[in-house]
Amino acid sequence: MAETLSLPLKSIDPATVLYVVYVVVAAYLVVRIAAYLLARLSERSGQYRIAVVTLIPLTKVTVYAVALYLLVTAFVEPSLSELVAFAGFFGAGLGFGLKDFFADIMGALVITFERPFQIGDKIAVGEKYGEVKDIGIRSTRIVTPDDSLISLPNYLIISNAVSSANAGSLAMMVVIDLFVDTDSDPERARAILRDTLVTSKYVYISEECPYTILVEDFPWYLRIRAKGYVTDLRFEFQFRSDVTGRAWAEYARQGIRPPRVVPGIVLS
Amino acid sequence: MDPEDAGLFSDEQGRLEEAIASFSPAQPAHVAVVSEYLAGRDSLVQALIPRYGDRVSYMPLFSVVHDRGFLDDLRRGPEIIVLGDCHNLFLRRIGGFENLDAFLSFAAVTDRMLITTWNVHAWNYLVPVRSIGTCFPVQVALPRLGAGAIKEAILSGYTREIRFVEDAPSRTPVLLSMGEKEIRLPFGGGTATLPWPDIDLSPLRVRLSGRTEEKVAVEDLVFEKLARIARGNIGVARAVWSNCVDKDEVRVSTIQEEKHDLKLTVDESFVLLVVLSMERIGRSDLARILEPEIDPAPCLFRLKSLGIVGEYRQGISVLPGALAAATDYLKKMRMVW
Repeated sequence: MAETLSLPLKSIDPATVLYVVYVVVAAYLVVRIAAYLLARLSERSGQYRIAVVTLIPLTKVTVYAVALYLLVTAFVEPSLSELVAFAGFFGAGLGFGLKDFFADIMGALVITFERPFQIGDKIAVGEKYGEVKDIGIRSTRIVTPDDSLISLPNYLIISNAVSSANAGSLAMMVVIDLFVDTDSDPERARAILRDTLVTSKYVYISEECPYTILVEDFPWYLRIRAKGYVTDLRFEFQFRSDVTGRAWAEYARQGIRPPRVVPGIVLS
Repeated sequence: MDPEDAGLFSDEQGRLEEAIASFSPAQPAHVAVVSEYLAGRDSLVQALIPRYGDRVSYMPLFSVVHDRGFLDDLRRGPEIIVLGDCHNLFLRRIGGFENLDAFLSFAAVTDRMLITTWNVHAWNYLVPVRSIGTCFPVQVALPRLGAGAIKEAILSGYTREIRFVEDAPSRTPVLLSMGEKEIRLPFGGGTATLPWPDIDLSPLRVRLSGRTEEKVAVEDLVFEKLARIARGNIGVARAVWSNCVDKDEVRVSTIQEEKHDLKLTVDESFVLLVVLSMERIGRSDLARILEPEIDPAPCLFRLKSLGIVGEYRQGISVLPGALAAATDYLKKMRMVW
């Protein structure tokens, strides 16, 4: 006769149910309050903004892990062999129905501890690009440049190539291309774009974050490319707009014209 | 700035003298003296004039340079030229570096020795932007002064005795005290004052370091507080001091740090950055930097109303008491580095 294995379940009474409710509500509140306070603190922390918000997913994982432990121990009192048996049943359950859900949770753990990106980073996953607003247990939320909130399942993120434009730093390189007519003086055009970049109110320049101005000759136009870092990645588009607008105003003033052929359009 | 302040920087004075002693026209090693606003670099370089007589000439740039006429003066100058406030050689705008570039070209070929002074924020900006560091192999950064040096400098200006009055209970070694904080209630509920913890770790540090608590004279207490508020900047310390001294009497309670809870727009921050790094700038030059995107008037109005900048006959400048707050804020915004 085979020995039957059963989990030593505790008796469930109203007090246990109430305990469970308390744990769930408390975990939820602690996570929300901690996330709110850390987000507020990060906004006041200037250059340490991203370092502070990094604590949010870590807090979430820790609080929910503690809550899960409390919930499990409220119902069962497992020995080692029973825990192994439970893990087997649990694995089978995962295989049948909850695979994606737990893959997302594992993804959250990987993102939290491996940190391929952090809250506040600008990331690209597939064709989606935006600022990471939240790393949740199931999904990561990003805000796109046109202010749409996109929830990306964590499993999708860890199984795809993710590019982080700033990798935890507030400074982010922005590449700005201007195309001018081949008759234009490239040195003059380069000098104007250089001055425009380094005088921008959004620029951040240091030994680690230098700027570069490149001129490249194409058959129908010259490309003047500026690479510079923005003080805060939230100003990425303002920086781009500031440099482009002021550079074109100065180009117009100094007679540097746009190309007669639009870059990217194939001539018939 | 007091001419006696030069004595506060004896090491830096020594480095300047050493640079002058090793100067040869074949290999002129130009010097850059770098400090924040009011920190005493003018006194330091002016002290060279009586010592070296006709060998040296001092040419301060009092305002933004608009043409290259100053180069003719440099060419006519003696073998050592002290050019003060060189941050006035450029404007942070498109085409605003031409005079600076001309000066750097001159510095690269001249057989004269150039001793230049710069605002630290302008210098830190120009080093990566225009690689000016390579033109000035000898760089002298003025250090922050301690309470003792500030005390000596300030009291040396008095022949009468100053009375120090301890009217603030600041000697109690309390780790945690309760203060008050006014908070704004949400949904238009007005303000409320709440008890707020005030933590002072200095008694703990004294205990951890094993030192015994020493009785500090009121006089020293005043200057410790002054040095802390001024962050070792002699010009700021003098300004704070002059506000506190009343009929040869100074009360501890009157030496207070100005509190500025700054929250500025990017445009306002940029205006503050320009004023901070140019030290004194006229409205017209400021407008030239900001045009056409930023209207300086509303930004200046806001900065003045916050007590950060002041406008005088010589131009717009950061108020001494707000220098630390302005610098901290711009560092936090990563606009100075």
